[in-house]
Order: sequence, then structure tokens, then C-alpha cells
Amino acid sequence: MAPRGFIITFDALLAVSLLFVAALIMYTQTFQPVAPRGVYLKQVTLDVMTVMEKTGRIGIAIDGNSSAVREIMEATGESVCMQLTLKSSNGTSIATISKTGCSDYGKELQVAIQPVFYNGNSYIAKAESWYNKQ
Amino acid sequence: MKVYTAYGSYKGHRGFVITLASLGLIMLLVAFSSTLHNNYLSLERALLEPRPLLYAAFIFDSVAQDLNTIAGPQINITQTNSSTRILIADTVPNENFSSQLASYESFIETILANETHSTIRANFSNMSAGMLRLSINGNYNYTNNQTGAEMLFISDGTGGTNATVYEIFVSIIKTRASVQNFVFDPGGDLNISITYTDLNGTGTASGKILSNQANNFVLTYDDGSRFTLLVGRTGSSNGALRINTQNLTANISFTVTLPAINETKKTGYEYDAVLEYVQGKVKKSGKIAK
Repeated sequence: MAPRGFIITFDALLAVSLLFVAALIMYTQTFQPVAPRGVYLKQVTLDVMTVMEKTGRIGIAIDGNSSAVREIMEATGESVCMQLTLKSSNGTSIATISKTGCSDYGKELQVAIQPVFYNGNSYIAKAESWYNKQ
Repeated sequence: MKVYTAYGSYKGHRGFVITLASLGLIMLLVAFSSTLHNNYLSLERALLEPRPLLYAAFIFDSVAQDLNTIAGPQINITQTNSSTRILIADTVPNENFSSQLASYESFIETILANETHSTIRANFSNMSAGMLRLSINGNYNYTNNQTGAEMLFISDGTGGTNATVYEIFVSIIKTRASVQNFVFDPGGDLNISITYTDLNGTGTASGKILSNQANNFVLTYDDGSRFTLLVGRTGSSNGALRINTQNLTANISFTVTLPAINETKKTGYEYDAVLEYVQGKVKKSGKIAK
């Protein structure tokens, strides 16, 4: 009798552990779509930079007026935060312009850097984007 | 032969079968899970892998924008089902942008490369003597030579541009002495109109010319300076446009109507300047184009 009881118990344990494995497998199927969010954020960052440069807004910001740049940033929607830093060719920071309502960096930080030629001088424009924590 | 199981009889067979079936189901579940996970990973790779290349293309586009700011020209290309219209605005002679170009070349090879943690090599030597050379739509060449004070729009290779209309606007800040107009031909195949503005006012001329002949239009100013426009044949190209100036600066804008580009060509233009961008495994090199 004793060996049979042991085997039955062992069989039951095996069945329970199989169920546990099955549950674990099903649980791990809930993937977080991290990559598409990052890709989307990168694309938004590059698009914003392109619009800013081609419409001459970065040049206006270099001249000291940040409103034209901020206008584009505000158009990116509430979930996206953005900050633009402008540096001269010798590395001196000229301006840092942040989107309203964005403070600390959140998840999925994306960075895009581009050269800007304006009024006979070369500058570096660096845009950092992240998803708003709220 | 009787088989006894933990349950002590043939009935035990059922438990054995259930256990086997459970194992089989679990293995099936694992296989499905693995396939799903691999599919997800391949989707992720498909989305993520082009990203560095996307950024390389962004850098190319940005450099092209800057090159256009430095060397010009203002250019707009529109395409319809039946025709292509190219608008170019520039000056003759062109500004000497050589020093700005050299400075910008150094800037992107050092400062930009450091900022982006990449290796960037630029070669703008073909534009270094104030020579602006563009290939447009893969069919036409536009050059503006600062040294020779010459603007040229011709077909790429032999043959002609097949242009049907030229609309030209010229602005010169000088006092005009004389005008040598085109000799129009009602049987011509190329419509041309020119509007010229100077200190005397604005003059216009329009009509048809033959695209396989050299048709000249000359403005002479009271200090002896000259503006010479040739439309038609120049070198081995028909339907071309050539402008030369002597001792004056002319602001020029012209629109040319051309046949629609065929489906193997792309609308756009590329400078005679080369850029190479390397970051990790990503490498993109080629002419700077917009």
C-alpha cells in the first residue's frame, strides 16, 4: 500500500507542477511592446528636428527667441516630453528649451543630434525626448 | 501480458495516458510559446535594426540642408503626370562659399562626429573653388561657376533637356544701355519668356525659339558690363540655358518645364559632394542629396 500511496502523491504533485508550468508559460506571453514605443519616440524626435530646421525655427532660437521652437514641441502631444539644447561649434551652450510641463527624464529617452548652419556659423542642435511620467 | 500501474490494475492505464497527454499538451504549449516569442523578437528586430540607419539618413538630410544654406541654390521641383517643373533662384556670379564650406566640412568631421560618437568623413573638394554642381532628377545638370561667372542648365549626357517652356526673371542694379533681344521663330518648339528689371525699369520679351539652335539675349549696361543669356543649343545639349555675366551681379530665377521623369528616376537633386557616416556596424556613404 505504501509505495502505491507514494506514487499517487508523486503523480498528483507532477500534475500540479505541470499545471504551474502551463500557467507560467501563459503568464509570460503578455509582452510589453517596448520597441514600438521607442521607435515611435525616435521618429517623433527626428521629425520635430527636421521641421524645426527646415522652417528656420532653430535659427530663430539661436537668435534668442525660443517661442517658435516651443510651438513645435507643444504640438507633439501630452505623452511626449522634449528638450532642445543648442551649442556653438566651440561647445558653449547657447540655449536649452524645454517643453512646458516636462521636468525629470522618464522612460524611453531618445536623443537626436544634428548640425545647423546659420548666419555663417555652425551649431549643434540636440533634442532629447522621453515619455511623460504622468 | 498484464501491465500494473500505481493504481494496481488495467484502470491504471488511464492515469498513465492522462499523464502522457498532459506532458504532450505542455510540450505543445512550450512550442507555441517559443514560436510566439521568436516571432515577437523578429518583429522587434525588424523595427529596431533600421533605426541606426534611419538616423544616418537623418544626418545626411541635415547636412544637405546646411549645404543648401551655404551654397544654394533655392530650388523647387514639382512633378505632375505630364510634366516636371524646376524652379531655381541663384546669383551670377555665385558667392564664393569656399571658406564657409571648408569650415563646415571640418565642423562635421570633428565636432559633429564627437557629439554623435561616430566617424564622419566629408569631401566637398569638387565645390571648393566656388563651383556649385547639381544633378537634378538624375536627368539634368545645373552648375554655377563663381570663377567663370557662368550658370548652366543642361541635360545629363548627350541629347537635349526636352524643355518646353523657360520663364526667366533677371534683376540687375545697373543702368541699362541696350538690349539685344531673342530672334523669335513662330515655328519654334520652345516657349520662352524673360522679364528683366534694372534701374531703367522692367522689360519683358516672350515668344518661341528652336531648341536646337543657340538663341541669345544680351543686356548691356552703361559701364560696359554685360548680361548674356543663351537658350537652346550649347555644347552637345539642346534646350539648355546658359547665363554669363561680365562685371555685374545678376539675381536670376528661372522655371523650366520638362517632360515627366520616368518611373526609374527619383525627384530630387544631389550635390557633387560626398559624405560617409560610420557608427558601429552602420555605415552610409554617398553623395549628399535632397
